[in-house]
Parts: sequence; C-alpha cells; structure tokens
Amino acid sequence: MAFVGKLAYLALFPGLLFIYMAGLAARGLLGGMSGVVTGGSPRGPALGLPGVLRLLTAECIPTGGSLSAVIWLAPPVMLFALSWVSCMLFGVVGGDLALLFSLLLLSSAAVILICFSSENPRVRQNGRSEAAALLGWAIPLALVIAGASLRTGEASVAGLIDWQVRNGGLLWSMEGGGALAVAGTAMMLAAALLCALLLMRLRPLGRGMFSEAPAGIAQDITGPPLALLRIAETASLAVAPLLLTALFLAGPASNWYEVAFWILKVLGLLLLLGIVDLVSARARSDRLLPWSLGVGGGLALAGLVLVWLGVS
Amino acid sequence: MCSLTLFHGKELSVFHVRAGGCDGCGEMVDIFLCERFRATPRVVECGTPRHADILIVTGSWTGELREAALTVISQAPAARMLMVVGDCALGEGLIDGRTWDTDEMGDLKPDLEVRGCPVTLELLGKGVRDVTR
Repeated sequence: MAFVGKLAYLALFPGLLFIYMAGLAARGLLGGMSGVVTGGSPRGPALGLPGVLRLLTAECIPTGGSLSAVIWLAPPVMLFALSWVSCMLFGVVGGDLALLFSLLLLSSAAVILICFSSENPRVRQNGRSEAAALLGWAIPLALVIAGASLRTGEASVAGLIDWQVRNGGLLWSMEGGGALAVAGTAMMLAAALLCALLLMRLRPLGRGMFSEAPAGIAQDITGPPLALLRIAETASLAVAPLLLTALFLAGPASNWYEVAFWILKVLGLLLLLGIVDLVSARARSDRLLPWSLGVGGGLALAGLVLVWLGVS
Repeated sequence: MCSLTLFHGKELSVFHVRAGGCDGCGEMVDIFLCERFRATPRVVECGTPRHADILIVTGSWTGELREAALTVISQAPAARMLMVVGDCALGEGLIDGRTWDTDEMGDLKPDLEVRGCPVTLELLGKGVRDVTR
C-alpha cells in the first residue's frame, strides 16, 4: 500500500502532474514578464496543455537505429527523475542529497543520449554542447550541495530542510559557521542560480531544445515521445526554483502564511531568473563552459572554502 | 483535413520548402510567417518537417531541387497538409519546372494550390484558413 501511495506521489502531487502544472505557471510568469517588458508575444521553452494533447495524439515518425528505442526511453526517464526530485523536496519521499543530485544528472544524461543516438549529424552535433552543459551545472551544484551539507551536517534532503526550519534559512542563519559561512552561502547561491539557468534552459547559459544551432535536440522526435520531452522541459522550469528554495531559503510551512511566504520565495527566485533571461535576450550559449565552470564553479568553490573555514 | 484545428487550437506549425525560382513567393511566405502578420489560426515556423502541420512549397520543381524537396516532404507526418504556393510551384510560372502530372512526383498531391506571381499575403492567409477548415 505504501508503494502505491508513493507511486501516487510520483504521478500526481508533488510529482509529475504538480511539476508540469507549476512549470506551466512558471512559463506563464516568464512569458508574461517578457511580454510586458519587450512588448512582443510571450516566449518560453515550455508547451501548454493543448500542444501536449496534440502531440500525444500525433504520429510518431520512425527514426531507425538506436534512436527509436531512446526516444521512447529517455523522456519517461527524465520525467521520472524530475518527479522524484520534486517528491524529495516536498519530503514525501526520503532520500539523501547524493540521490537528488544523481536524479538531476540522470535527467540531463537522457538528453545527451538522445543527441548521440540520432542519425542526423546536425542533431548529433548538439551532444558535445549538451555534455558541456551538464558539466557546467553538475560540478558547481555538487560543490554547492557539499557546502550546504558541510554547514548543516545533514546528508539528507529532509534533514537539510529541518535544519533550516530550526535555525532559519541557510542564506541568513548565523548558526553553523557564523558570518563567514553566510558569506560563503551567498556565493554558493549565486553559483546555484547559474546552475538553475542551465537546468531550466534559460538564457544566457541555457540551450533550447528546438532553436539552438545547428539543429534542435528534438528535431528527430515526434508524437508522444516529443510530448513527454516537452512535459519534462516544462517541469524543469518548476523543479529548479524549488530546488534552490529547499537548499537555501527553506523554512517552516505549518501555517497558511508560511506556505504563502514559501510561494513568494519560489516566485522571487523565478522572477530573478526571468530577469536574467530577459536582459540576455541576444546571448547565446557559446561561452557556456567559461561562465558556468569558471564563474559558477569558482563561486561555488570559494563559497565552499568560506563555509569550511566558518564551521571549522 | 477538417479536424486539423481541433487539436491544434489556434497555433499551427509550418515548414517552408523552397524549390527553385526567383524566391519571390518564398519572401512572401517569410513575411507571412513573421510575427506582425500572424492571424487566426496562428502559424509558427518550425525547424523540421517532422513537426509540421502544414508544408508550404514555393518555387519551381527544378531537376536539382526536386529530389531534395520530395525527401523533405516525405519526412513530414502523414497527417500534414501540403500547400503549393505560387505559379512556379504549380508549373505555370515564368520559370519552367516540372508539373504535378509527371511520374517523378509519384502519388504526391497538393491539398491546396495558391496561385500568384508572386503570391499575396491575403491569399496565403486565406489558404491557411481553407486548408485547416
């Protein structure tokens, strides 16, 4: 029975259905902000419900080769990984920070598998860029998670959140290392924001699945697999801000105003990421590695050192 | 054909296939697909024929480009609509190309023909509405 309950968590709330709906809301917010500021039509990497329904009923054109298997395998794996991450962040499924990180890695690795399995050379060229994007967020985020774990002494997601409920958010709590650790945490948050841009495929670091040169990742994929891929793409818009909130800004959520405050924190992070996306409208992801590993990795490493100095 | 707009809402993906010719009709299609001329149903250009709801072919079917154009068209879903736009694409234009009656075209038949040299934006809009009705 517990297994069935966990499946329901994964499929409905706070899993697949919730992160897709939250992703659509995030897309609406980002698109609306873009429309207000630029005056153009809202843009966004996500796809709405009518579009998804259309794709679910559309023809899946055979691709041949290993891609035929991969396109049916990779999108569900991505969705499963993101749903599990969401369930862990909401505390309905247990797990440690290493598992959370591994699930995010799995989600991105599925996209790389799609690229390298394609028989279309223009799509295959994206494989190296996608691998670079994975390195670009994975290394800084690993350092960030290590820093958060070092400061709180917790290895599990629930433990990390509980620590913040007791002592205040990691970003402002003076517990666990004092001012030096808080400074380090602020640097790690900046690095995590760069990671979030990559995870959400927002500019200037993110790579679109459909628009990046020489050809979008999803060019070979049609029908239901494409619908699942677009649901995963939409869900990532919600998972990244939820992850940052859980890592740095968590707090109690036992009253309605605390839940409202938590929603405000997620929205604030989303708006911040949306503003970065807007002000880098003409940016391309060509210099992804220098920015993500150089700036993001540097900030994360410096933050980790400060946290270590603070707690030792 | 009649159910095309049912699942698509107000947005349709269009893939533009350029064959030979002066590209006057191709330019008109480009203008039609750009944002300021978007009408109902909304059309957006997609990057691959595999995602296309409508294929728009412009230009003359020259020997060199015919095979490539047919390959692109064959990559589209079976439920796609094929709009052949401009006199040249229909074998009636200034630039002589193959017509739809030749064996090389196989069973391929346009769902809608839009005449003009070059074609006008109004006719393109009407064509998209007709093909999705």
